[in-house]
Amino acid sequence: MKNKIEFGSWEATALMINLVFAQVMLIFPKDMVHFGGSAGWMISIIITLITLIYFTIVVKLYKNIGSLDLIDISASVGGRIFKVVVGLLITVFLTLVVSINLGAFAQTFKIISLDKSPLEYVGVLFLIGMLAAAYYGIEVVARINAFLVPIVIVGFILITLGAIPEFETNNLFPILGDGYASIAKGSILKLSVFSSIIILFFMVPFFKKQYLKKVGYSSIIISGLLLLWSTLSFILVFPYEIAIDKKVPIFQLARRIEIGNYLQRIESVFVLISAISAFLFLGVIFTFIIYIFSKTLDLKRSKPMILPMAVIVFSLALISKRLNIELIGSNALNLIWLTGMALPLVIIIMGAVKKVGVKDNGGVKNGQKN
Amino acid sequence: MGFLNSIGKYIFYKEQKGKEGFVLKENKAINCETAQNIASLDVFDKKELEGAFVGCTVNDDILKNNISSDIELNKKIMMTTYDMPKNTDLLYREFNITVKDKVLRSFIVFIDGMTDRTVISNNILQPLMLLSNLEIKEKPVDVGEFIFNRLIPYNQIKKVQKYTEVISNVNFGGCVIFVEGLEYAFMADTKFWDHRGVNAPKSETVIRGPQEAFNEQIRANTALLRKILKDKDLMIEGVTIGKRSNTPCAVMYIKDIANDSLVREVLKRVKSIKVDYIFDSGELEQLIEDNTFMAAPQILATERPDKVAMMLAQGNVAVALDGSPFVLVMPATITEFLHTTEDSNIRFPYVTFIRMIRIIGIAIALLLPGIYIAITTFHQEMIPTNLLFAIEAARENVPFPCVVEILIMELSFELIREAGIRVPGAIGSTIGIVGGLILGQAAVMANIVSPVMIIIVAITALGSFSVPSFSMSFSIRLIRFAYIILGAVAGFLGIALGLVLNSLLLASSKSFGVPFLTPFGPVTKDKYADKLVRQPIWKQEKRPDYLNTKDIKSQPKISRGWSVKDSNEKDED
Repeated sequence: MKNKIEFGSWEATALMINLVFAQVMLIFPKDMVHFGGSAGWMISIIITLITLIYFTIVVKLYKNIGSLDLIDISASVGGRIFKVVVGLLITVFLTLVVSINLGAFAQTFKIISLDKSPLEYVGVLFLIGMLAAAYYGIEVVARINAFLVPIVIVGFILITLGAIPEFETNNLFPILGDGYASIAKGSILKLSVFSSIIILFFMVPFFKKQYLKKVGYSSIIISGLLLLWSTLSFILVFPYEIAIDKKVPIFQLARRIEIGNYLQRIESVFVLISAISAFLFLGVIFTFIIYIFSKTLDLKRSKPMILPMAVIVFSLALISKRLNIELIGSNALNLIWLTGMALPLVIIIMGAVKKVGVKDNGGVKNGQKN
Repeated sequence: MGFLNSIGKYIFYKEQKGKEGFVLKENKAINCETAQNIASLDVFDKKELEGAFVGCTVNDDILKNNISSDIELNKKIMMTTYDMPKNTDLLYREFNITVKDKVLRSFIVFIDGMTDRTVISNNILQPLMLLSNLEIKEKPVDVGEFIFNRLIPYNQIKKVQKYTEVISNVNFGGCVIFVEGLEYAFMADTKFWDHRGVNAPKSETVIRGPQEAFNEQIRANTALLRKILKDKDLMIEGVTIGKRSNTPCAVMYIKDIANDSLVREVLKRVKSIKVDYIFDSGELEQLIEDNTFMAAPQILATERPDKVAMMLAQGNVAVALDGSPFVLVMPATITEFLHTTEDSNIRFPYVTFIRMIRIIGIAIALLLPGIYIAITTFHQEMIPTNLLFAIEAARENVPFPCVVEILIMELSFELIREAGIRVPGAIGSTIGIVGGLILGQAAVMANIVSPVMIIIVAITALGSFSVPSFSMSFSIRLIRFAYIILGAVAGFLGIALGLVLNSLLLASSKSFGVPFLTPFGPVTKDKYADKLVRQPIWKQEKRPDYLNTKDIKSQPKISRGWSVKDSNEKDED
């Protein structure tokens, strides 16, 4: 009976796509319009290209590193203390990501679906999903992503296709929207949508290393296309002035669909698919928090950590909502989110310099476990 | 006088004799220590230990001894073990065999009703009692060998050395022959009892395909499989389960296809079971499955030999148990529960269509009531306005909320279904009519439920009938209630939560090392052409990747030789 976690490239790709796609369901298209106006769609192309360049660099660097994740690399580079520091930093970062997104999803679903229920109630429903995901572990979570994410994406595409009769090409003009500066600013700040790429560098030991390239590129490209299509369809339906005020963009898009008098207001379908996407997003990040935290502190059993960590995440999510701080979409937070891309790059550069985990004359350098 | 007596009964008090009712008392402690602690056969000869077995059973350790050459001792052991003559269906017959000038005392033991009496009389008793008197030309060197070679003209006979073998064979329709002076016994396989023949399947009917089903006879079942597969590499390994029942069980696989570790694991699990009795493969399924607490089944139980044969050919392992008309096949993933044998017998476009219908049926059976509750409670805007008016008008006089309404209807439907199965066949259809039509109509007229709800429950029931597997259908019926509750408490968000939790549960479970959701989660190599949609039969070149079979190819790339022009034909042209 093997205890090793293992999954294929498709599972990893689907998981990564959803980590980006869940942002589309929240606020991403609106942010694009906020930064770029009618040229918001360009930002999604630019950030995809930047991420592709970033990933190409990482892949090049990974040639000098074995099948190690960020914790293993930091342990090999700077010893146990460095490993603990990096591990805790990533845990805190991901805890922040998951708690802010938990609050945002709870708030969104309260607005669009459960308007009479208290926020805590909606939050608890998401929390149950997160707890279950963490209980079953990374392998199982990756497996369900493999078949649920395609369903979610097909649902999303159908919604946007249903909105095609509402498309107004005039909305794309002026072609450069608010100008170069705004597009550039938006491209840097909204690069944060790919901040969850940090998770990819924890999955390297789970799939064969040669698939890193395939998983990374395919997930970035598919996610980029989804970002582009979501922004484009949002801008095409809503003129800039109206779009800037829309709270949940794709939901608003779904509300506009009307095909005959039998298919109208299919925003509830959006509720279903975005809820699945949200459960998967929160579940994946929370599962990885437990995994990273346990690995950082060399805990033999990770399950006892699930409940305390859930309490922390839930409390943080509620605090930000109680204090009425609008975190999602704020510039400061967008910059913090970039840690998800910067931190792995730094660690991977250090690992590549020391060539950790690379087989050296038949042996393994720097203590990679076989 | 009689009249006076009758009057007297009313005037004078007469004490009634107390009538003592039966009380199930605890067994009196019988001291079986002597019987249990002895392992030597001497006990049967000792006068002082003669009463040691009264009320006690013969210890297995004694029976593990080798058979004695003393015919009297053997007789005592058999009589004591089976508690003869109290045990009336156990038959015992003494007779003499003449070998050359010697007369040897012998006896046979068999169970009446489980053995073929004609065979015992004509092929065992008659030759032993009569043939032995004929003049023997050769010089008998060994009495046992002479009896075996010349005096018992029966095809299925073997020598057994231990009493345990004797007992287990007699229990399963054998006839044992003890002969004076021999340290072994002859065991004739004379089993014969009334049984059901090979009938048409009852729970897995098909239009196109064989109409045979397994019955309760293990040998008949294995023969049905051999008949279909006709493969020399089909292995049927025998195992017995049950400390007391010694129920025969067959583990079947094709040795050059099935994965060795899978075969070992199945054998390990089956052999490791320690129960007194086992009655059906349903019990065996529960004893060997990976996860007992999961709603979905993890082992496929089928009554169709062709289905088992197909799965054996694809690399699965099957287990048949004597007395059960259902054979277990493992590992079983979600696809196996969605397929029928008919799928391979009809053309692939039809199969693809029918599978889509089946999947829609399953989705309806699982989700429709929950989604209806979610829509009517939280997402009314989804319903077209005219339909919304109609639903509201129909519900106007119903005092219950939707969720109560649907729970009443679902529980009533389950009640009707259960009652329909339990009542005798003749009135089974009446239950359906009374329960389904009259009760439904009356419930609507009494404003207990709305007509839309009847439609929802009826469509859900139709959906659940489209599930090919009986066990899977059960699991869907159970989980449906969870979706109803989730839909009622959180609308589509609740349904989404249910889908995620359900997916986690299914994705975490394994059937003999194979993840249950294979080939969808984890995704396996796409060469296997019979996942959700079935490809043309000539494209099905590979066996399922997840079974890790020894031989992955089930047919060459070009399985239809005629589709390629051969060289001879070219020459002729």
